[in-house]
Amino acid sequence: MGRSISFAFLTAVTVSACVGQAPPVRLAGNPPAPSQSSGVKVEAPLRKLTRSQYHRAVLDLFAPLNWTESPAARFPADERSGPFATNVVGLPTPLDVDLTFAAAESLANRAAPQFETLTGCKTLTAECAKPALQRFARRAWRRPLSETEHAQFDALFEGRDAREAFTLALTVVLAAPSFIDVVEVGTAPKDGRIQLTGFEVATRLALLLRGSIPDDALLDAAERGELDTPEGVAAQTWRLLRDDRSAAALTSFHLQWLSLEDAPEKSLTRYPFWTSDVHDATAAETSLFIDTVIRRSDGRYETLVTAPFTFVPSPVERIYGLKPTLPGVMVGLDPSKRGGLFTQPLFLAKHAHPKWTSPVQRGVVMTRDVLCLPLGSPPPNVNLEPIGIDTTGQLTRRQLVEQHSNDARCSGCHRMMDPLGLAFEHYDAVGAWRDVDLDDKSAIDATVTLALGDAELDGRISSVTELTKKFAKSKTARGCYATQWYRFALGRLETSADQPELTTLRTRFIDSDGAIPDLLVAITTSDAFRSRAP
Amino acid sequence: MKTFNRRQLLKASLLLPFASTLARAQQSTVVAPKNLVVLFHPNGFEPGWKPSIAPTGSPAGVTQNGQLVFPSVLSALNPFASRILAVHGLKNGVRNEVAAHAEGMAGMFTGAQIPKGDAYSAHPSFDQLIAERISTGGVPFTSLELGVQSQGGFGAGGNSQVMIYDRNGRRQPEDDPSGVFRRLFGGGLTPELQARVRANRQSVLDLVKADVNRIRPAYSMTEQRKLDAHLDGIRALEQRLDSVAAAQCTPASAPPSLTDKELAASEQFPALMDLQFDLLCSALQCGLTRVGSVQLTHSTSSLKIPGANTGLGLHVTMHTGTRADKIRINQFFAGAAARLLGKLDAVKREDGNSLLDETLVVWGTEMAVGNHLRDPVPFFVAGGHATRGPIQTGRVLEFTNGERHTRLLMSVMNAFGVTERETLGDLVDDSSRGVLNGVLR
Repeated sequence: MGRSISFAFLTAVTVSACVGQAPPVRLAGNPPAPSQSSGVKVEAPLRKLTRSQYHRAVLDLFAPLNWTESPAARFPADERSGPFATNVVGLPTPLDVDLTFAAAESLANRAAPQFETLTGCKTLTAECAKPALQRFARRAWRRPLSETEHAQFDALFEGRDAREAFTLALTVVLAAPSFIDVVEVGTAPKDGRIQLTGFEVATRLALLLRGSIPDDALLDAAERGELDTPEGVAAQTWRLLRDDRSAAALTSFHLQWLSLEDAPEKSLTRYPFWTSDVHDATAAETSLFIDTVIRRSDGRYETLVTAPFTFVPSPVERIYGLKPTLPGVMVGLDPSKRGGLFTQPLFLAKHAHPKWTSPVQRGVVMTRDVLCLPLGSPPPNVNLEPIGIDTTGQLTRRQLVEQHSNDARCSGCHRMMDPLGLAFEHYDAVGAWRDVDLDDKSAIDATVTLALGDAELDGRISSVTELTKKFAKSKTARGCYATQWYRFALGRLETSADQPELTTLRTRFIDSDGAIPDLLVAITTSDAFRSRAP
Repeated sequence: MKTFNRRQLLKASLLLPFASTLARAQQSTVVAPKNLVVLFHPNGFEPGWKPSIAPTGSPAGVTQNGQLVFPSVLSALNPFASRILAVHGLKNGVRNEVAAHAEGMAGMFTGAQIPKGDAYSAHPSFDQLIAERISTGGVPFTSLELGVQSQGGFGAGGNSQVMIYDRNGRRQPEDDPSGVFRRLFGGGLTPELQARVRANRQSVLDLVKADVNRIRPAYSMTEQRKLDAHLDGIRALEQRLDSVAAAQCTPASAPPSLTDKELAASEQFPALMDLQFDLLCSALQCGLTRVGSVQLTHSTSSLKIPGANTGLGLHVTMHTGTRADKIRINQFFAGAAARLLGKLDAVKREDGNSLLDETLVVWGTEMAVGNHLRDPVPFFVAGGHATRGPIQTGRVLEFTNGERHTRLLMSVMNAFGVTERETLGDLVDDSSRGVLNGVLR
């Protein structure tokens, strides 16, 4: 890394009186802006819980048993809509039905012997089991049971011993669509749209901000009618955001948005220190940073993409060329070299090759996911080998990348995205700062001229920090961020029918100070979030 | 086409409408296969995989009676050379405009042109069209999709790739051998328990159905299809409550229960593969299904095959690794295919034939080489009756006129009597229409 060590931190501040703890949550709880009823038809898909949602839901439902594993890891992979995991398009397959049924059976068989911890019943009688079962079913199905359903569960106890009936009832709860799907039966249509019940809004909220199904407190709020109004939904959104359990869900959004879930592979010869521990620590850094920005600092998009501070959980210091710090200690960064999410090793290492940087990959994620600009596919049968080194030794990596712009078949897209990626060239394939390219020995030149057809962004910049400062103010970047949250919150891509309300949300976020919690409340109190098309 | 005999030449010159007439005429001599097995490995082969015909000194003409010899890349297949048809020079029938991995997998067995921004096929894969035809008459599983480390952990981004599609859409594979065993053979219950469990399961399924039916009216017709598919799945489960118990067959021994970590560990890959191959053989042997597939990892895999690519993962190695590493990976997958053929051949039926004699095996991959170039895409067909199977094996066929690989799959469909389709997938042009000349006996 050599000279990369030179960007010593400006300040190393303990941000909490108690070292090792993150700063306190700072969320004011602003009321929602008044929402206009748009009355547009929005798609209303029935979606299956993702593997991760199912997993958390199972652990939450059986929390008294302290489980750490669920059958979800054995389920087929989730669908993706855009960058986000959501099972919204495909039909359930015979395998899906088999696996969810088998999972329900095995979970029930595993849980039933521990009935005392689950139900409080010293001996399991029908009388004692039934109310406990009703509480369990309400939690799993995220709604009160109907009279018919009560009777059906009661009938399972007839002619069976209570333990067997209890096991079967648990199986029913866990195998039913009311558990494994996000079911939105709704109430009577209003303005051509089906209003979701408070319970259904509670489920959308919990999936968004907990990555799981609602807890009893949220269901109780729904039962009291508190989720039937925008004000009530706003209050519950703030409550969930203040709860530390929302941190993982906020992180999950960002990791999915930027394709950061899988660890990248690194060359063992060039980066012999790269292990899964290093990757895990870079993920911990970014998670802590996201939570700190959104819930414990000013919460603004500008801070997310430019903040000149981070956390350096060991062994991330190897990449930064710093000394390790204690957990929870915020480290100031040289603002001319680093700042914000896109300059963190998790992001930089993921969007790079094992040994080399990838200006193309970095350009793609910036263009497609951060700016939401459309990109075509590569033309037929072009060489898609990563751009590495020129074996003739004539061209630098930058010159190799710039050849894209000379090829008419490629230049349309690469003219847009390559400069965005080349701006990151000071960060090597694991995100360490560098001034010289180790392969072609050229001095790094990260000066680029952006030509995105966007007056706010276009022009010459000489560093990533200049780029991210532009992003912070950019209508395109901020609007894209709002759109990505909208997709994540609704578990689907937007359709043309979403445009009026989505445009309002985007505009409001662009025109505001860019507070992310306010954006989330604007989304959860929107018509799209609280109703669905018939 | 380099090798042909008179019959192939005759057939190649026939117009398509006559092909099925000919197929009927040949029925008396050709032994129809009973089962289909599909095998996938990712990222193609290094150039130089193409087998050649070594002269045997037979006076009857070396191209007909020579011994098929695989080069070192695929030499593990040599013991089965006489049972394999290697096809070289096919043009990938997946649209060129889309780049690589998910699209390649979705198009490989379907011939679908994947729209931009999508990664899934809207067309059924050829094996499912065959399954519709042959997995009938009370066969408990229409088809069986197995995988080895094909799905990845939660949130893994690169593996939402699916290669098998029925008319409802994706059919993803199951990666856990103990789960597969339970689906196929039940939990190893005693007959006394079996009746009790059966009754209890029915009670549970009745209430699950009640929940589906409660929800259904609230949704539009499009969404109701999801609930209907759920009900179909339940119905299939109910039918199997009886048929699985009734299967008169000795299954493979129950696979060990593995932790999530073990299921995902690279060093377990060869063992997992063997378990899945054994389960597939058992399922075919026991008549639980007629059509099966095994998806070995996926197109952007980070698998580190013991002894092959222990440094970087499979996908990265196939891009930028050394040629030696790439060849070791190819050799591993050739070994995998040979193991599958060997296991099928080891199951002997009452009439003296082996399971391999009754089964056609199609082995394909989604691109020509690891750098995403898709042409020429390698494909192999193996098995069938040793002398009177529908496909004459022990040969290599070379195609040079832009013939699409989907036509090879059409030929296999034809061997199972699925003859009514003009093309597979949605490319309709001269290079994708009809069966491939010279493949069928």
